[in-house]
Amino acid sequence: MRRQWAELRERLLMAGVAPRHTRRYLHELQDHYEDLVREACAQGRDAEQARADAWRRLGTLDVLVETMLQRPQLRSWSARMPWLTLALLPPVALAALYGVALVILATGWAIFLPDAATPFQPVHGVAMLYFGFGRLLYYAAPALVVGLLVLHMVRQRQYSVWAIVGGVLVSRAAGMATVHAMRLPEQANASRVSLQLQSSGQTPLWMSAMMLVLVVVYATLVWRKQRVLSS
Amino acid sequence: MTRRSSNPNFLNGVPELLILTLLADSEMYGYELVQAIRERTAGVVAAGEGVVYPVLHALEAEGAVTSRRRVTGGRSRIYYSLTNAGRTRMGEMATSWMTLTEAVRSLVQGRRQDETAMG
Repeated sequence: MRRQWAELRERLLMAGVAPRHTRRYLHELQDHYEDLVREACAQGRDAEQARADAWRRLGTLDVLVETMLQRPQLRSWSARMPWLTLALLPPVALAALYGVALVILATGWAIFLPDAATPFQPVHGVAMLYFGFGRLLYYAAPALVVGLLVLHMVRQRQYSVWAIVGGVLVSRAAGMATVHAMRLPEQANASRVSLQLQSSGQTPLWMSAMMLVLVVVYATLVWRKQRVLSS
Repeated sequence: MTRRSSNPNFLNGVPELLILTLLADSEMYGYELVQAIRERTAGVVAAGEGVVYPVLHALEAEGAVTSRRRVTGGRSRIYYSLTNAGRTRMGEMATSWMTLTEAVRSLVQGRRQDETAMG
């Protein structure tokens, strides 16, 4: 039975059924199966026959998968619009994280270094923690986004090539991003913090590693899908 | 053991109507619903019992039913109940179903009467 439940889960996820619906469906089917076994045992059947009857009454794997797939509203967004969730959303998430990092930089500059010409200078105490958090967020954001993308692919068994597109966009954006901070000469104590995309012409090693992980996960998912379908 | 045959029409809007009608009386979990369908239709409507769950999930996604987890007899089960939107939908579906079955019945009965008259 355990093999059949596992196969059902894999087939549902690979077909694009949302993980929460898959999880609940399996939970309910397993409960239903137990009830059917109890019912059959109460009618005097032996355990093995009761299990066979229960499985037959529940429906074949094909029927159980097919009836779920007939309901498009139960499919995940990644299955419905992979270009949106796997390709566009990761760069948007990166932009949002960069935005938070810039806000931390700008507010830290105003709070802890109001008279300094630049926020990029040694700080101590609480200021170090505050700027440190912003810096950590800035440098970790690409890895965090790609990590979440990989996790999402694995969890939803999504092998769409759009995930590679999303990964490439995040890596390129991260490689080109540069933070600028300057005082505005025409206004006292006014400053501007901005992020610009500038091509440096080379790809950092950590970004290549990130892309490699993404490609390996993608290849593994494709291989797993082929294996499940062939079995 | 009773021999059960599968009814292919079960999947064409009928399960929604049956489920909504049963849930109008009381909240139920999947196994209970299937038993109730079997009993209330005298076994005429039968299908793979697992197919009831995608229907329930879809109805919940559409706001026609709501679910809650409840522990009964030491087991955690997901109980479904009808929402106001589900009650309205049930009324519409029931009216539509009655109209359809009446039309089909009238057609079939008319043909039978014609055949009887012709000899």
